[in-house]
Amino acid sequence: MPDMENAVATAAGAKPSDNDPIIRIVDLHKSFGDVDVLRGISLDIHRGEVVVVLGPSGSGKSTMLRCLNRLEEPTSGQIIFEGEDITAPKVNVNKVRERMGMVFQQFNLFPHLDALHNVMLAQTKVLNRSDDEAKRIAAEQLARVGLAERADYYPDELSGGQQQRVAIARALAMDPHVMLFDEATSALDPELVRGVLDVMRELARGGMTMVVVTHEMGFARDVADRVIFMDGGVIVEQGTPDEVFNHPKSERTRAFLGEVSLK
Amino acid sequence: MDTPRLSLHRLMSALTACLLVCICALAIATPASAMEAVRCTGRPNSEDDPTVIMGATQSRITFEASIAEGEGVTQLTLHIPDGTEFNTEDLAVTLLTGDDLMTRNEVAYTETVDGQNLTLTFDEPIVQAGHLNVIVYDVYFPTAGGDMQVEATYSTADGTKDAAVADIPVIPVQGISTTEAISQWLEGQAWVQAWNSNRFLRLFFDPTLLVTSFPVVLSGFFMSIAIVAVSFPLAIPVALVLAFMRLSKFPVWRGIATVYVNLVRGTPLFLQIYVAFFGLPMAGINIPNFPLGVIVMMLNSSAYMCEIFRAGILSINKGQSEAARSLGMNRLQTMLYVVLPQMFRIVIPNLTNEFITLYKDTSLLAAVGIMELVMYARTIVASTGSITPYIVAAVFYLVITLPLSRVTRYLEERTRRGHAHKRKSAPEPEPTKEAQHA
Repeated sequence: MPDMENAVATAAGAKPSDNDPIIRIVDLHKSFGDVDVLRGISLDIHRGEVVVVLGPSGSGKSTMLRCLNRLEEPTSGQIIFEGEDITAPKVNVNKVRERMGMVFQQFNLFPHLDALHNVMLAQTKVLNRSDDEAKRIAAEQLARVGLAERADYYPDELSGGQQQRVAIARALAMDPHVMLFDEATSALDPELVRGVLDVMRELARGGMTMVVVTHEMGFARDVADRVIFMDGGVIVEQGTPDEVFNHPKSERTRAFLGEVSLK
Repeated sequence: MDTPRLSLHRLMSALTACLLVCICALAIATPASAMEAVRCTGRPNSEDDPTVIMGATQSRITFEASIAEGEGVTQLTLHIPDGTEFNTEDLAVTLLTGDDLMTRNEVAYTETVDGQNLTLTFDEPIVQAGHLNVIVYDVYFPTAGGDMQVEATYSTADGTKDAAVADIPVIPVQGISTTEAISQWLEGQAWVQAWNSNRFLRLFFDPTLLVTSFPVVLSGFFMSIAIVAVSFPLAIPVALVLAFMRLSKFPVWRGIATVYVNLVRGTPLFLQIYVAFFGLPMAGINIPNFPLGVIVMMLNSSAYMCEIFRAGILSINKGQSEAARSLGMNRLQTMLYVVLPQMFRIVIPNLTNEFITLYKDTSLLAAVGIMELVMYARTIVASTGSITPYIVAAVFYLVITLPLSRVTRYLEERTRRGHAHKRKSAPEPEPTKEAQHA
């Protein structure tokens, strides 16, 4: 069954003109106790689109991303993923997550497994792929992120940038329809950021639907189809990189971009 | 009617003739083997049984043979059984004479020793009828024991050479264990006697008891090891289930596990053992001692291990399970393939400590009569009045606990330094994408 879904998805992914959004967020709210982190987010993400989410820390951008695969439970609102309301109570959230890859700020590689087995584990346990097939795909994905020779290295033997690329390979091996990047380069030393961004760039060029929370303005400018600026739990402004960076409408956007460029 | 009486008379004369022939034959035969074995014994030397001769323990051999009037024995050779040690400095050679053999006559002789052969050459041939009695002192029979056959040959003045003394009885010797042999040897050593003359040293470190209690306490050691070897692995799954219950979202599971863990950890193991061993039989539940002991130790240990596992699971970064869940793995898969493997690595030092504790705590089972280390030691203490067997028991505890605590220290050190994986070769310079794109 997963194979059929993948085939459909790949076909759909090849047509970015597809009008149905792959993800539709409707009036999403999330609060932790009395703190309202998300205060009504509505957003459509289309197949093959690269959406970059910017915003000051505490603006709720990571929380929004984590709500998309329900690592955080939304307080209210709907998330419709490939036509299915994944906030409905009876949804098998594991099935949803198979189709949504996620990359974390802290990599979160499994330290007890080498790079190859990090990429293999969920393939064999979740997709029931045979060891041989999982190994073949893992090797392919590691080669894709430029780490073919690091297959037998354990996470603590890899640099941060290499670890993050293994994490990307691990997510990609599941053939996700969407990739979520949660500040994927924020924990990296500056000289290691580029390798990870290059992999992400390559992925975008290949037509992957991506939602990227980042502070990398250059990446947003170059790669994003759409830039979203969030602040205070709402979307303040969105548009093409040119619109948001060069002609920001909102005062808050301007202030944020000003601060970032000063850094 | 004369005929039957006549034939009876004939028969009787024939029988008489036969008898005469026999007696004559015996009378002639007897002087031919003039030296006859009368006795050949070892001196009993067991402290426990006054009739037993033990190997490797000081004894002596008494050999006695009868000599006929005018025999003229010039030489007697005793072949002491192989493996038996003896000393010839202190021989006693006596000729017992008189009707009641109570007259003791000194016999002048010279002795020569060739291997196991002890040859006595008499200055004057012995012509007087009597019993020749030879005592060999300082005899140590072989440790393994067995039936010891002393052989003897003699020569006479009239030319009989090396005639064998027949029918020498064997000396039954009981074998003793190596440790008993060592212990007895030690007992004879001057330094041991000096050592044991100090009351404190004798009470706690009597070398002979150290040696003899070793094999006995060893059986207890095996029993203690068997108890932990069964109860410890059984406690692991129980403790895992308890830990999952304590981390459960459902208050009922949490409550049950918490109450259990607090009860077990909050009361002495000694009390738990008593409750199980005296309470259950009263309730009509009869479980044999060993399995019951194992169950009690297992249940006790699982409560402590539960807390180790719980802390271990909580110490795994939340990002680990988030990463697993984000890949579509369910809770169970995440636990099995991501959290538990890391948790076990972290808790190994604590688990080792728990093993040490459990091993030491098996001693409490002595109180309910399980034959473990302390119990075995106690039986010897009771029979000897020396504390030494307890010291031997202590050694058996340390043999396990000291190396294990070293292992624990090493593992803790390694975890702290975080060098879990060692490369076979030094990492080569990175042919990374960073470099390629720079």
